[in-house]
Amino acid sequence: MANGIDTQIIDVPLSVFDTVNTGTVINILSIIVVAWLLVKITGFALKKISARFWTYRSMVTTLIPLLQIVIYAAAIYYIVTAVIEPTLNQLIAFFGLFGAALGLGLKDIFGDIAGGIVITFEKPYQIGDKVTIGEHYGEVVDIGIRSTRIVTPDDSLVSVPNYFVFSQPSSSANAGKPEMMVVIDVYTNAASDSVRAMKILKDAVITSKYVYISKDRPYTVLVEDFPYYRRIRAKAYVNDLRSEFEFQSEVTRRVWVEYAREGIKAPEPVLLRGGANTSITNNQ
Amino acid sequence: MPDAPPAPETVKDVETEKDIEIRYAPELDRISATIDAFAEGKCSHVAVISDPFAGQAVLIDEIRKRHGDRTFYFSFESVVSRKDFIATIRRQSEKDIIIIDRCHFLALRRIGGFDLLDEFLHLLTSSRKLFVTTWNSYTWSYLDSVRNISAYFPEVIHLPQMDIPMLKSIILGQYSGEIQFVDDTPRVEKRFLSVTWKEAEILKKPFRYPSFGIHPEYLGRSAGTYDSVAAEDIIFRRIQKISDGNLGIALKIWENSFSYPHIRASSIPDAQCIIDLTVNEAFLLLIILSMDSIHTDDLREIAGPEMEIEKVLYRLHTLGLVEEKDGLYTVQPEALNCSAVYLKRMRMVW
Repeated sequence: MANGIDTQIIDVPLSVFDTVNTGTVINILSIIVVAWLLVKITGFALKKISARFWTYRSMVTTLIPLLQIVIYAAAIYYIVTAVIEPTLNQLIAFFGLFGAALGLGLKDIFGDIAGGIVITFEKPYQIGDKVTIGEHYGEVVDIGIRSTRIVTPDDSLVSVPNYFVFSQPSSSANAGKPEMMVVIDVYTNAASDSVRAMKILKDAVITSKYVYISKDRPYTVLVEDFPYYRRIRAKAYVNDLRSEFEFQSEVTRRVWVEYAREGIKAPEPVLLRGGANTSITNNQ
Repeated sequence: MPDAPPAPETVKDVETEKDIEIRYAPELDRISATIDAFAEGKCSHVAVISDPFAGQAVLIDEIRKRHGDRTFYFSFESVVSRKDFIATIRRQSEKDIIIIDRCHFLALRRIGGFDLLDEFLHLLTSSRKLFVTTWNSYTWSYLDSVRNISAYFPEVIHLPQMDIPMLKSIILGQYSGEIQFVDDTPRVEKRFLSVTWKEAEILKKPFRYPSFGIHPEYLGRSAGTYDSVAAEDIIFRRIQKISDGNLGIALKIWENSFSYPHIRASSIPDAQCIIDLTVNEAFLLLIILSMDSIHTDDLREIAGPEMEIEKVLYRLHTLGLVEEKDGLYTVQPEALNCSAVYLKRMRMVW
């Protein structure tokens, strides 16, 4: 009886290999290639469409990872059911091997795939969003099965494994919307007229070509006192998150041109000598 | 063949008194009610909002006609740079209704560009007179978002878009003779859904792709019966679609397409709206759209030193989006609706 059981266990893997011949391998490879091509083509087309209809971008880009999962799942299902056609025993054996593979070190890959599925359905961020994942900040350009790719402000492409979604906090600055809040700080010396400085910053923000203002997307200008300087902070939405830095730069440049005209000055460096504060001016 | 009538210059030349009364009946009633309430001590300043070319002037003329002895009329012709107008308005002690036309010229989209608007709003809140003002709709929506300007005007009246029968009645009302409508568009376009093949290049290789067009005017009609579609309806549907119910634009399209006594569907420009602009180009287009017409010097002031406005204006001009006359830039009437749709999509019009 015991011998009979042993024989059966050993026979199952052999029968799997019996059904996998050269033709089957070619079929499987063809299906994988077709699925991969489909994923690439649909991804490319949907990215083009989302760029053209920027306002509805999030609706379109949401489909990209979803389609990836659907296409790959359909390919796997087709390979298993129509090409290999396993028996129940073969399936049991496959899952046994699959479990062993997981234990032997493929768990990170499957963790990434599970993370990809969670990102697709839970949508903590989407393609096109400005996100911070771990210590990386940038625009999400692709959510793949295994990793999420973000482009940082200095144009580096960072691949973040999808399992990070379980272990690291992620924040999305725009949550699928085309606009996002931008914080612009300018610093003036304590002697400058802060009311005038605030008005100029406010005007610079609301007249910017990049700004987006509505009842739901208001702007605000705040002042905060520090020991030797004041910080004037504007919070406003940029109409297209891709213009985040241009918005900051344009407002800051125009503000300083106007500040110079109005005699509003930047803070002066301060040295602390033996407990006494000394202000260093240009003359010194 | 009868002589062609002279081409209309503006909406004012075309609309009869009866047209105006019919077209603006609800708006005129609201303004009259506000004036009546003002006589009883309730002051609700009025803002009349309209798109460029929409012809708010005829409404203002009608108000002046009805309340002529009580009204003082003042119109800004370009961007306001001095506050003399405040003193002029203050001097009108014997008039209790102040009509100020084209108030969008009070604000300029630059740092410090709202000072005169603030002065004006101060005058408005401190005066015992009733102010009836007109504004460009794009400037209004901008100022309402950034300065909450509607808080100063309890009575905000948006001029309505015109429907096809109204457009038809006003346009055809100019002519006494018979107008011949000719639908000479290609047969392929005479279906609800048409497919034409276009050519493009991908990796420097020619590539043909199908372009789909939707023509609601042919909905429910089979290809065999397309000839029975009234050419007149087709032509007015097209005019209404391009003008988006703006009478001034509809008249311009009519004027450009009409060769007495024929009007051909093929001579009406394509309603397709394909614009692709840089941020600077879109921004200057927005400014021109928001101001009705604006001088190059004012545009330069708004654009600042970082923008080469000559280049930008040249591109806008070559794309057929703006036109220039004596240094004043205006949006091409036929391109107004398309430009507005594009700028909304770019989230520059809110």
